[in-house]
Amino acid sequence: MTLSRRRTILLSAFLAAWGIVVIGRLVQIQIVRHADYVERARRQQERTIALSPTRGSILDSRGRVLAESVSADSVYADPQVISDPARVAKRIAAVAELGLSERQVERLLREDGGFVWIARRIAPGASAALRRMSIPGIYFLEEHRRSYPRGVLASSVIGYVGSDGEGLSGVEHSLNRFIRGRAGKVTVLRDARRATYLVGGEGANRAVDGDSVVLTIDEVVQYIAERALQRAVDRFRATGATAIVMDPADGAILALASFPTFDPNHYRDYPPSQWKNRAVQDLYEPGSTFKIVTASAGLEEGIVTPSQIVDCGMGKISFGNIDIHEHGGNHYGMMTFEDVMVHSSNVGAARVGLALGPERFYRYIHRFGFGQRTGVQLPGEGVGMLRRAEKWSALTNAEVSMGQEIAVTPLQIARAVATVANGGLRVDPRIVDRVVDSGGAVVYRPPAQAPVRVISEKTAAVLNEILKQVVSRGTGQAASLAEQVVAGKTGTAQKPVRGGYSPDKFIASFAGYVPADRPRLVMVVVVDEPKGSQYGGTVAAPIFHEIAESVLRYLGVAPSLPARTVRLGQPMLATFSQRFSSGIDTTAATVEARTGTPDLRGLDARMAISAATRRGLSVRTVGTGLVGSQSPAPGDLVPANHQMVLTLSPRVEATR
Amino acid sequence: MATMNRTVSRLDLNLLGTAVVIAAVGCLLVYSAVHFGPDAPLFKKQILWTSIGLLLMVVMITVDYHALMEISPILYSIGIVLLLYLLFYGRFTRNVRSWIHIGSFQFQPAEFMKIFTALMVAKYFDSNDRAYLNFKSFFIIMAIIGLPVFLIAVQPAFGSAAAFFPLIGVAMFFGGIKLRWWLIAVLCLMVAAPIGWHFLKPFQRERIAIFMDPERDPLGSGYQVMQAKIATGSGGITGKGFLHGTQVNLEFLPARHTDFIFSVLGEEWGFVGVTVVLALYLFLIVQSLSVAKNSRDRGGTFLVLSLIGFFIFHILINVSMQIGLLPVTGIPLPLISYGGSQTMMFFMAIGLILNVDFRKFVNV
Repeated sequence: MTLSRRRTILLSAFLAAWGIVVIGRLVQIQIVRHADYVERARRQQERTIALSPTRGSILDSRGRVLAESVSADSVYADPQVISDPARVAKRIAAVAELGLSERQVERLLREDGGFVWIARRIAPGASAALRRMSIPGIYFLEEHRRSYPRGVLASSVIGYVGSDGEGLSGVEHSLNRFIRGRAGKVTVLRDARRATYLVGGEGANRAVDGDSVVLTIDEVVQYIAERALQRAVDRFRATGATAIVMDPADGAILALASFPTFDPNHYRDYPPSQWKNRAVQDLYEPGSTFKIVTASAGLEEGIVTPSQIVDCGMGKISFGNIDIHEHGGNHYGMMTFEDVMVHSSNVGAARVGLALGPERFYRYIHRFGFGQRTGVQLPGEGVGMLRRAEKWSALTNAEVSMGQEIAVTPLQIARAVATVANGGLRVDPRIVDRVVDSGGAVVYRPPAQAPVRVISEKTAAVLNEILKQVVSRGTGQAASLAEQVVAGKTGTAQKPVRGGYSPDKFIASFAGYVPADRPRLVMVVVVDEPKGSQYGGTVAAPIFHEIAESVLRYLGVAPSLPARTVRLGQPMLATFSQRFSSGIDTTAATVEARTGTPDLRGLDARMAISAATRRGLSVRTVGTGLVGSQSPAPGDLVPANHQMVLTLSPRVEATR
Repeated sequence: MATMNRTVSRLDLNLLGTAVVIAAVGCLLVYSAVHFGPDAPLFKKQILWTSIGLLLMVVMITVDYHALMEISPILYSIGIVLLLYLLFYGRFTRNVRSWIHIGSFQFQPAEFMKIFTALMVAKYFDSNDRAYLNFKSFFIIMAIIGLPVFLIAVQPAFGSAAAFFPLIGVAMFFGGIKLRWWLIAVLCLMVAAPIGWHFLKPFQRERIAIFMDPERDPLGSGYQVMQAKIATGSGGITGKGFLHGTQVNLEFLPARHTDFIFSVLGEEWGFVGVTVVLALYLFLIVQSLSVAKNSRDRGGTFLVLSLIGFFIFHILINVSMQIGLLPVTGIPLPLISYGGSQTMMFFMAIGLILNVDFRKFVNV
């Protein structure tokens, strides 16, 4: 044969060499750089979609919902399952609430790939209508929207949630880490034409829903406070106002109102200045309400006694060329220390403060908690401004005695007044009672600070008598109640402006507690720049009166004055709920005939129904699958035999 | 019956079996590449092509290759007529006129022309028993091969035209050709290359440019090679498993049932699968080479060498292209890529090789 040996070898060598290059290249691609190509493949094929968890609710102390995440169905389609897009589009477009045209829907249904959104977060009616059609290839995914059912109520406490689902102010922000929950994620595949495919199973990466926060706020007390404050703000055309209602025994804040306010459902419609919580963020010079601290220190240190005569001179006390005057140009001359407080004498208070001297006085101010945050779990709490004793001049010493040259937050004043109400024990205010998971188990409770003794019980009792006199015959008479003894102190502070104090801008305040001998409520009312009248006694004290009267009735506190008898029970509550309509649920006060709804979310229909019927409730279900949302919400009080509506939703199914 | 048994016992069953195994792997890979999409019916078609191919293979075994060489001028002429027909009446499909449509059926004359030309050249060598080709015989062989190459190149299907190159190589290398003719041929090629570049269509130039730097344009034409490399590379040593190739299923891999089917193999069956398939090819080639060596006449030797040349050329070009060693051309992977005409052609080639092997002894 003609096959030349040399040429055969030559050709074989060439082909073998090529073969070796090919194999070498395959080793390089498939083995050496394998990981790199796997990563490249993953990068172009996979997309990770975050599954947002359901934010927890924010509830008032009786379990009424202040903020919740309501589920809203989103509808998606698997175009590959839908054989007749035109017909399906017609049926979907027939649901008018979606606001989609037949053409739009059909275009979506004709897209490549196995996943396309039809509509996000649709109305419950539209969702129910679509579910009834049960069109193959049309699926539902439960998503969430933040809802504040009470609108502006307690908005400065609750805060709001930004579009990214993170709490941006109020409790929504300060307890975001509990409320937020843990996001899950799902990996979707993407093909070369950029169509995505949902590959089933959320698996281990399922979102964990957020915990719910139970506040110490009582929705009804909050409403009462806000209503009274609103009225006063309107009447005195004030630029702002704050009211704090607190239980002195444990520091629980029952209401914390701040004006101007905003609706967290539409927070963007309000200027950011209205989002803040004045009760903890605003600093102001407290004025005469601070004389409570001056008096406490003076009495405790034995510098004065109530009946001791104080020389208030000719209504002025001079420091170099600066004089401190009595308000309203009064000159009281000689009078008892009790009267100094009752008439709110500046000169008298200054004399006591000067007698204490900077170091001692400062120590008491500090022990009352000024210059320190209260630690309440609200964002942006102010520290206040308290100059160190070493830097005090005599003038400073006198000014501080009457509540000037010191800046405080309304909540710090509330804490100080509560200390007197508590017989000298300082209890830090708290607004978060506990955090509970979806099963109701407590996952967090703010650590309780041990009460601090600031003044002796005896001193507190003496001061109590003086503060009662302030209301019964002094500057605070407008705060008095027909059925209860009120103790308190007014404050009228000129607003500091550059180089001194404004002649026409005031902050009117009243700080007090009731019933004076067994305090149930501590309240601070601060009104910023009232017009027409500027005194704490004329502007703030009436608000105290109004709030205290309603709240004490709501709480069912027995009258301490036998002035007239008031019937307790049903008729009064009926009047109450008629007076405070506008969606406030006051029915919780009559707990006997009612029952709390169980949390059925996440259960399947059978388990949910049996759980509900065990509590004597009837049930109607919508849809199939697991309970996604329930009405009424978990913990709501409903009459026995009430019918609950459970909305069920199927799990996300694999589409390919 | 006895004759039949003797016939079967004389067949090189190793070679036949290897070819069938490769074709079976090919069918599985085609299934993997098309099973999920609108191309799914192509799998059944490939089964049909393979069956017809096996039938044609049997025909090619049965008829003495000497008889086929005898009638090769007729077959060759028919092929030339069909190519001329395409040139004047052909319908453009994806930029080229390569297919003749008869009803819903279509085929590529160029594929069959490879076999016809190989037979024709073999016949010439059979009757031309000299150690070295002289100028005249060199010219005649070049003309026999050059005519169809030219007709195919103007379709313009350069890949198919280039597939005739092994015929030239085998003819010159083993046909006995003096060194100076080699030099002339090489010189011609060197002159022709730049001129050829001038005549290339833009999409063909683009392919060569991208071959030089495939990462340059990941979404353009270099995209194909990138995706092929990602598929093969992500397959790793053992692959992602049958029907589990993500590059395939998510349709990132282009032409996955035809030119880039090797990447499907690389992704789903990994380096192991690739090695096994390449080993099968190697076995096929080595077996065929021994057939060529033991052929009883010069014609048989050249015929087998030409046919095995086709195999080697297709395999090397196709595989090299997917792993970025050569530019992208429309060269299928023998017995594995989807396609009617070329599947039949390769089975016919296997049939002819078996034919030559079967008739290596004079007394048949």
